[in-house]
Amino acid sequence: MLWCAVTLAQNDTINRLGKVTIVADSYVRNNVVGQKVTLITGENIVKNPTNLTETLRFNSVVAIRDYGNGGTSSARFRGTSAANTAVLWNGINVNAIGNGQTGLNSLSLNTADEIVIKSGGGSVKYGSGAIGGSIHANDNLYFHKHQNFQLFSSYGSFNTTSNFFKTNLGTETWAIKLGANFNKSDNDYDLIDDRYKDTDGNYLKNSNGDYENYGLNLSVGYQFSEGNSLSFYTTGFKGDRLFSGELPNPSGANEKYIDLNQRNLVVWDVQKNQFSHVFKSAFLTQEYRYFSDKNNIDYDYGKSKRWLFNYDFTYHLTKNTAINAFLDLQNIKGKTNQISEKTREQYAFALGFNSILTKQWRYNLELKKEFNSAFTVPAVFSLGNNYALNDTNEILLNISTNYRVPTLNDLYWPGQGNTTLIPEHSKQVDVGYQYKNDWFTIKSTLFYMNVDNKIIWTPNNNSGVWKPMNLNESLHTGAEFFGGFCYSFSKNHSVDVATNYIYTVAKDAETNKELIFVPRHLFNATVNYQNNIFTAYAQNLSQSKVYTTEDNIDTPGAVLNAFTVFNAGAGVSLLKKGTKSLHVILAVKNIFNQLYLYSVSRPMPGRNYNLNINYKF
Amino acid sequence: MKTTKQILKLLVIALIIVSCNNDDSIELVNRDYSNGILISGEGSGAGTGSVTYLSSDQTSKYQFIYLSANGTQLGTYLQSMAFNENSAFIIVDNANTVTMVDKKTFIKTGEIKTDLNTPRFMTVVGDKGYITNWGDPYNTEDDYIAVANLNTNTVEKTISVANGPEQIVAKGNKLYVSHKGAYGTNNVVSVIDTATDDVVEITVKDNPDELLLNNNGDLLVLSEGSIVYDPWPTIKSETKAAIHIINTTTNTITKTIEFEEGEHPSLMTYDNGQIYYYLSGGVYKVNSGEETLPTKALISQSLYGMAVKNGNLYGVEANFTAQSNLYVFDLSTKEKVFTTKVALGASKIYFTE
Repeated sequence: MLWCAVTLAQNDTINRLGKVTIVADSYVRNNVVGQKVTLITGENIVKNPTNLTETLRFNSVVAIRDYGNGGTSSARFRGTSAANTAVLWNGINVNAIGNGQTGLNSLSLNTADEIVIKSGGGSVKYGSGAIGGSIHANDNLYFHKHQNFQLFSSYGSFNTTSNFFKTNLGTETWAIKLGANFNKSDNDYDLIDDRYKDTDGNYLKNSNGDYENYGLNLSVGYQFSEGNSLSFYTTGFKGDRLFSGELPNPSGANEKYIDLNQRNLVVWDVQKNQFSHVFKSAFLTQEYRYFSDKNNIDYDYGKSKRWLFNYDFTYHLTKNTAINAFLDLQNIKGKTNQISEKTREQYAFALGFNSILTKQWRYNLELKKEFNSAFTVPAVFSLGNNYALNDTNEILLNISTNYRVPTLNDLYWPGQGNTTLIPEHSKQVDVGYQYKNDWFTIKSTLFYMNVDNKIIWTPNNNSGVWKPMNLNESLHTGAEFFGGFCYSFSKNHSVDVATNYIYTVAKDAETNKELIFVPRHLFNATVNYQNNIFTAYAQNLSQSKVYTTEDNIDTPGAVLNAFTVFNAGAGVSLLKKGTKSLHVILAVKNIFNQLYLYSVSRPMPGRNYNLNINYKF
Repeated sequence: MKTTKQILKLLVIALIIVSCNNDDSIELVNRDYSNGILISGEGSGAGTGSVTYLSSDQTSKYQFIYLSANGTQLGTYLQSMAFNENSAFIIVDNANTVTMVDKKTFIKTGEIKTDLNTPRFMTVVGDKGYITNWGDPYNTEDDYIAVANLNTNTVEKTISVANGPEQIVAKGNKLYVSHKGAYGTNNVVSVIDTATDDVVEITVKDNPDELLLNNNGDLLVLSEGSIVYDPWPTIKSETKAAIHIINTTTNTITKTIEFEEGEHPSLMTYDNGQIYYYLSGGVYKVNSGEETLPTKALISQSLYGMAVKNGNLYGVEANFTAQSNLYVFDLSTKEKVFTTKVALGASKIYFTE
């Protein structure tokens, strides 16, 4: 069953290895109680390696709105806003200070050992923005004798190439992980909308859409003794892209955007007797440069620096109960060319209680209060329950409150910022059911969430000047589903299926209208077949119609139509020996050349091809 | 495998639910939009720029009239429109286009897609179109007037002007251009001789925007005044707004009516000797012969665009995430007599009859 477990990505590969592994964000990996958690593994990433937007679209319940392929892109869970999604790098929240979001094309996670998708709020552990859900990228360190290398390279239509190199090395005391990636594309695909053609009858091209980005990351761990380790993570990213134009005149575009991100983290993890201590310190910098015209020397910029220190203490009262205390200190500095440097200092305390009551029933209760120098943050709590009916069936319950703080732009934008803003606040209930046997996994959850004091930019009645205000309240109800199936005919001959589905009704509490750009139905599935020589897969992604205006007018100028797109790939295994393997795969994306859009007037690419090599040695 | 069947069943159901509707084409309609009111909306991320038609008697209204006539969209942001006898010209600044349509049917007859850079406003003289262009809004040196040949739909030449050219009107062989200053600030009205392309500047109060000719053939200019922050919310400097009257024979300012410190009007229109302007949630009226401004608003209403005709004031309250509101006020009773939903980000009102 080994092969199945890996591709299904739902069993705990780390525990199964039976070796000591350091995961900086071990909480989301192993200790989430009462919420739905799914994994995107390296096997999934190489099917959708172009950018994180694509990886998440085809492998999770996250709805993504982007401004053209490769452009500004943001993730939304359950119909919440982009600022209500937290993105974490080895457990550290990396949402931008300026706008509270993480641009999914402003980082590359191709070399992550896994991407964990946690549905629902998690502000107690993960802070601001963890309202709709969170996306966790983890680099793992393995303390046993090993050396694994992976080289992945793909090239295809529109001169698009995605490449990464990744290595995990280690002994009983040392562990090293090094990753490097490079992505580039001319991104000048045909905009396959028959209504818009040039005078010669040809499709217009996606113009000014080129992008190029590089990332490098290094993680090093040292184990002093069993249960006592020090690890260091560092990563740098530079993204250089143009912002493409929209129909009817895509050639009118000439904007450019540069991202420069650097992150460092040290973790000291000591576990002795009933005590566990985890010290973390991180230093993060982010910068963007926006050129209104790519030929200009002048640009708008925003920069931030963040120091954080946290200490996580756990005391095991008995074998089955533990109390946990958590202290977090942060110093955040941000500025833009229009906002002079602002500093925010914040500290937070959290208390947790974990207990395994009976063989079936596990629960935890967590409380957190944050204080900072700029505004009042509400105390939040989370109560999680896992109740196992038997070996295969489990019921989950989570009740929590969560928040997202006003951003630097919300507070201080020249002439418009509002320093009296308070954080958005959510209350949610998740009731889940999970089923697992050797071939088959179901993870499902019903959710209800209320997000209040939403920060909305709105024109001031008197002056007409746009200002952010704590205005709206929204209600989010729905259901999420993950289904995984895997069957091995023999040791090297298997088929597996993974599907995600989310039904979302997200409405404004006052007007009862649906929130814009929220599909009611979002579905994706991947079917994978593999034997000794051949491998083949098919993927699909379906999204129902979305309204683009808040009054939900249902006419062609104000909706994006429902669509279904299919991708497929097939290839051969040229080498398979021990841990060594070499696969060559030809992939066809959007096989049926479907016209589909995630934002107004910006069609996505039609049928396109890429060839990739995945070499592990 | 019972479970396998169940999963497959689920897959099929989900596929049916999100059944794919690939048909983006829409049914084209041919209507007569010549007698009525056109409201242009700038558009936003929620939808591209669009035009709403309302008949003069307010009994019929059609939204997205360009989309219904042509099946295609205009792009964002629909800044303004210009007209001649048979055509309407739709200026979309981010898309760098001017789209020509038949004034009656709104069916597309041509477009200018090159040599425009953040176009703002246009005026038509004979077979020439004069289009103000900001260039890069941050660059104060690359602003120009594009001179388009309307027979070939190409830009024949450009005339360099001061930063941030905004509205443009023609009188005889002269063009008058207000320079609001794009993303910065400016304080001139350019006068361009269409025969020689010579440019003369008249200095006015800061940020001139609205520009129109009154019944005497004088030019009315609304300078909004400027506020400079350093950094926000500290005001580094603030200047006064004013209404100027410019004699178009001598090209000199004959009258300046200043606003109070801190007042920054944003809209102005003119009808039958009366100037109407919008300031902080209210519409005010002043006779163009007056020397002082009223202290009391005629109508209290938040507006983003306005126009006056036949004793009615038409105003739009823009919404960029939903349909905007159009209000009609009877100027004699000051009462709101009509309200309807119009284009996303509605900003300009034009009368086509």
